[in-house]
Amino acid sequence: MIAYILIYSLLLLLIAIVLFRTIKIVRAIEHQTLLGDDITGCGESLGFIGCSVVCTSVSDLQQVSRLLGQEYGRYEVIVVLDSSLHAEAFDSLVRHFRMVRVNCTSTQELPSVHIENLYRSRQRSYRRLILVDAPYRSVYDDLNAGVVVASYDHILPIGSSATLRPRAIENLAIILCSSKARNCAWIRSRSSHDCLFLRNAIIDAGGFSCDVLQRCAEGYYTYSPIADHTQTRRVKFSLRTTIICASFTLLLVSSATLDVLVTISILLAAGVAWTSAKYVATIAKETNCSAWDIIYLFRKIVDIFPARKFSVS
Amino acid sequence: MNLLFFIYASLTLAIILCLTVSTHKTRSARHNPSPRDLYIRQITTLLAHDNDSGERIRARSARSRLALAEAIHLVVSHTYGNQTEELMALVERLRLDRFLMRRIRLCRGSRRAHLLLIMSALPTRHYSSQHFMRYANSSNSDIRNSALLAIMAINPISAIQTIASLQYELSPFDIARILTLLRRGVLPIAYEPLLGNDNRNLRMLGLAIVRTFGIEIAEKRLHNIILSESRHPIISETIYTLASLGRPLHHARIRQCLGQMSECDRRSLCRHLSREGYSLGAVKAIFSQTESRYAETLINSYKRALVRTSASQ
Repeated sequence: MIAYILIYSLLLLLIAIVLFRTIKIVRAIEHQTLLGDDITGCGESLGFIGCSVVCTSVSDLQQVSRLLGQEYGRYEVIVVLDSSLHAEAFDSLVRHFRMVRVNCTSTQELPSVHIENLYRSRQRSYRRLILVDAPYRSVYDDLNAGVVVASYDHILPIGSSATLRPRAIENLAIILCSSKARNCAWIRSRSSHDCLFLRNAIIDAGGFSCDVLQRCAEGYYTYSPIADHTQTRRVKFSLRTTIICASFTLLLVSSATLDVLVTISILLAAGVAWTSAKYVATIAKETNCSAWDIIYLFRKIVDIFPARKFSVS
Repeated sequence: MNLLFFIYASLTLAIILCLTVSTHKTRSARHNPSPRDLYIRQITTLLAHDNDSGERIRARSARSRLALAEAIHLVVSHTYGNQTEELMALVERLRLDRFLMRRIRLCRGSRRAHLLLIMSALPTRHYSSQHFMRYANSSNSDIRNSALLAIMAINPISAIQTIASLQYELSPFDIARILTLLRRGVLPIAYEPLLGNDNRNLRMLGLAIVRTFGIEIAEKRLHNIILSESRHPIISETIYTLASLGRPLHHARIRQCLGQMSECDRRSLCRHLSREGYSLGAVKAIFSQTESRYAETLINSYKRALVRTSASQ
């Protein structure tokens, strides 16, 4: 009897946490929408807060164009790509955005960084875009190359599967200037796990690495999502889904010997998490959300203890 | 045991049901035209000097009244120089102001802040700034700021006194929201009394006005602030404002102020100046030799590379 009470208490606790996170994320999205409507066109005056989005492993033209579509004044997109590894993608970026090679001398802020060439666009409409040709060693080295080139005080690392949410930068600027987050070394979204870093903090920490969050002084957590992650490493997903399915099958098989009621209870808890993810996905996405979006959000909602390790997806 | 399972199962099923209903409601609200959109059309027709159409606007339920109030807020905040008589007649006929004040009293948190913001756009005779004073001292910054906007919208003549009497510092986001009132024509763009005042909030608002509206003739007043001011955040903001206007910065007092800044802040200003298109000579005049070298690297990165290297195209 004690074992059953313990199991049900644990399941109820899990459901309570999932619901708490769901409500927090939904309220954060609604709050963003309300505030965003109020200051339309006032982005220039948000306390000179600027943001440099540093993209690693991004070679898709459409993704870069989408990133350039943010309606915030003080904002730039830095694409770091190895021209020898992705020659075709690099050429297409140079041609499409009419990039020209500009002078590039190291500022010695991060001595380990090696940049081959730097490109800026000739076209005024793409003046926010900077293309960095740097030899690929790791994702963190790519990000460091972007930090050296960045001209704004805040850095937002973005991977190949991420797309910034509408008004994401404006919302981050609002968070930065209206809360205690302004002087924090990083801001991390609890719903999308993206991080915004203070440039100086990264330089002081000696650049990006997997333990950069621990090495930077203090951080700030927000429930507001920053980016939508559309196709997060499908292989990983499939593997995890297979593991979950296998464990449920095992659970069902063993339910005959254990208890059917406990199995149903676990399934009901999973059902609550799934419907929560579906609800958040509906609120967060203006268009119809796919199953992948729901699976992604399901993971983020159930992920009660997020990894302290910093990674980009 | 069975009772425990029954309670647990009913609870989880109720949660799942609630979440599913909410998801469907959100979806259907997105697909159907909202009453707010219909009201926006009716209000724009009314403002286009079709006085008879005001009589045709109906709002019987609480939901439709709220939608109408939101529609008025949206129209008023996105237009300039409206005739308020028609809107005031509409508000009085449908008693929207009383309805909103009742809702403001009942709601809490960001919902109350949103309603206060809507109230700031409604022309009303029944309520004075005194009715909003209790919200202007709220511990919630959103409510506080929305109440401040409502007070200033109702009594624009005493806007300066209202801001001067604030016991807290306005954040850049709060200032950006006040600027929306200026854009709507509710408050005058009178930057001179603001810059001349010693109050921190008024000075910051004056600087934001100069920056947002690009008032170059305010240069002399900005230099006066740098000469007389002892608070570093205001001096820094003034230097940034001068840089945004593209004015010369080779003033002895500015050099002195830069000497008191931290190295990080100076580098940040260097990056800002290179972004704003300042020449190397202008930067060298105010920075030390080390920082000038840093600035030179940044400024050169905006110039086309003419020397061809082996890695370049």
